Amino acid sequence: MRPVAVEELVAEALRRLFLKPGADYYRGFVEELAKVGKLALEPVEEKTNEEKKSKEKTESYVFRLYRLEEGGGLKELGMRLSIRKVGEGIVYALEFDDVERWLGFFKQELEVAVKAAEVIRERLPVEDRLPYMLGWVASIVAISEGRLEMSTSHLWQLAETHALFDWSYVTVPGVNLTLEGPKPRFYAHTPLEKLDEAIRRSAESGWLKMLGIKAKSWKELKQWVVENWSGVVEAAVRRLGEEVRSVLEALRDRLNDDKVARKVVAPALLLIQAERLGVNEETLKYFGAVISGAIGGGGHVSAAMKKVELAGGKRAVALLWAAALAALGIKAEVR
Amino acid sequence: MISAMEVYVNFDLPPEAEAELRRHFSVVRGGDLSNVYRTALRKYAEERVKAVERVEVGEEPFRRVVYAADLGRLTQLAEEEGKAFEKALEILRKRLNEYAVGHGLRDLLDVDEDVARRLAETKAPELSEFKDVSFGVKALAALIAYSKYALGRRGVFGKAAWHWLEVGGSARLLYYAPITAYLKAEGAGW
Repeated sequence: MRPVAVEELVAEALRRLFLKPGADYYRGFVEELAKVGKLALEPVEEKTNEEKKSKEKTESYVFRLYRLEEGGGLKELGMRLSIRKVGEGIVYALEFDDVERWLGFFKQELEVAVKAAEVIRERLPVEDRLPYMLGWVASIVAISEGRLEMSTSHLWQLAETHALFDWSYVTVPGVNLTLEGPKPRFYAHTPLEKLDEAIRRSAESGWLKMLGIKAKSWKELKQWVVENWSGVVEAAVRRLGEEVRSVLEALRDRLNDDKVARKVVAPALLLIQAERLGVNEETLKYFGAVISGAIGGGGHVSAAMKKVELAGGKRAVALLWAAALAALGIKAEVR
Repeated sequence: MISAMEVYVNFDLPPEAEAELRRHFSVVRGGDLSNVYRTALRKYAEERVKAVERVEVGEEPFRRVVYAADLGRLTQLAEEEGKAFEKALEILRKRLNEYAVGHGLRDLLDVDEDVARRLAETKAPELSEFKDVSFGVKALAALIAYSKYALGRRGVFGKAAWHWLEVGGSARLLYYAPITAYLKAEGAGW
């Protein structure tokens, strides 16, 4: 972040509130905020250890927002403005303290996502939902404290995942202020039992049954992968060479951590599938379901560059994906 | 020779391009629309910062420092900036079409807005597909791309437009094929 006056950063954040097309899409929200007239932004000292330790503290700002009334009185608006350095750029966002107060402006979006999810659900070509779900879990859908959760500013991601996870709670905790104007940030969660249920069904009559995996829950599926990890490593070594062995072997001890396991299970199962069943129409169908979720949550397809990129994850996870893709005859570069 | 018609460009032309333009137009130096638009952009950026100020509010001992932002003024500036851009686009489109229709220069200045918008938003690999577009398309695309670039949306033709307009070479931007204009801008370190 180049050194700039705080006033300049605040002006840039507020400018983004009025940029199109976001300002048009969320006109109601922008107009409601503009009605405030005089806005007061009070700097907030953040107390987290992370903030205290990092250099970011001096380069990021959080302000509590108030209506500035005649005579200097302040009336709280139930939101904060955060301006944070992320990599080389700056992320501007409004974060709602009083979520319910502002949710009404985005209800239409949420209803659209729910309706779109109904259509998507009917059109999924693979009946077993688990491979799709594992693809999303390997990317943007996290597992934390007994629940599945996701944060995104893309309505289509909310719709796609709602079709699979049937989120029990969806809200808008804030609005990102982007160069395309304001964009709501959606947050959704649901109990982990939804994934357990999909695993049970898959083991009874779907992809897991085809792979010969007996598991009734996420915990049991993770355990199965741990117990069969040497087979995964050997398969990866055969595809990518001996140099990946130590990195992948070290991964085994971290599979009890859901943050790691959720990224590992999908590519590990694809590798096992290729080893056990080879490449055919049936196995490609499941590969397509997994990879569509993984790309949807954390990758992109460039028709012009004729390439697909999967982002996120440590090097060991990327190597695992590279091995799984190599097993299908797809060349992958790990960066 | 049509001497009454004016072309608003900051001229820094390759000789062959200047000769070609002078066959059809009277050249007006330093008065191009992009320059007018750039001046407006700078003005709005300065005005925006003025709309935010550090003030103290409340009574002692509860006095505190806040940043006060005039949202009414910021809304007004956003509207004016949008209008300034639309106006610049409209005038440019009108002038180019007048020349094209009135003086049989359709091939040279025909403005297909759809193509211009696609050029303004294209990615590097597709840039070479626009090698045969007219001056008019390039001019319109440059203004659109410049606006996006100024907002921070960094497209490749925006990069070219930014470079050539900032170094005062808007005519070269129109003369070169888009891919050449972009590569030269890249080479110049923009």
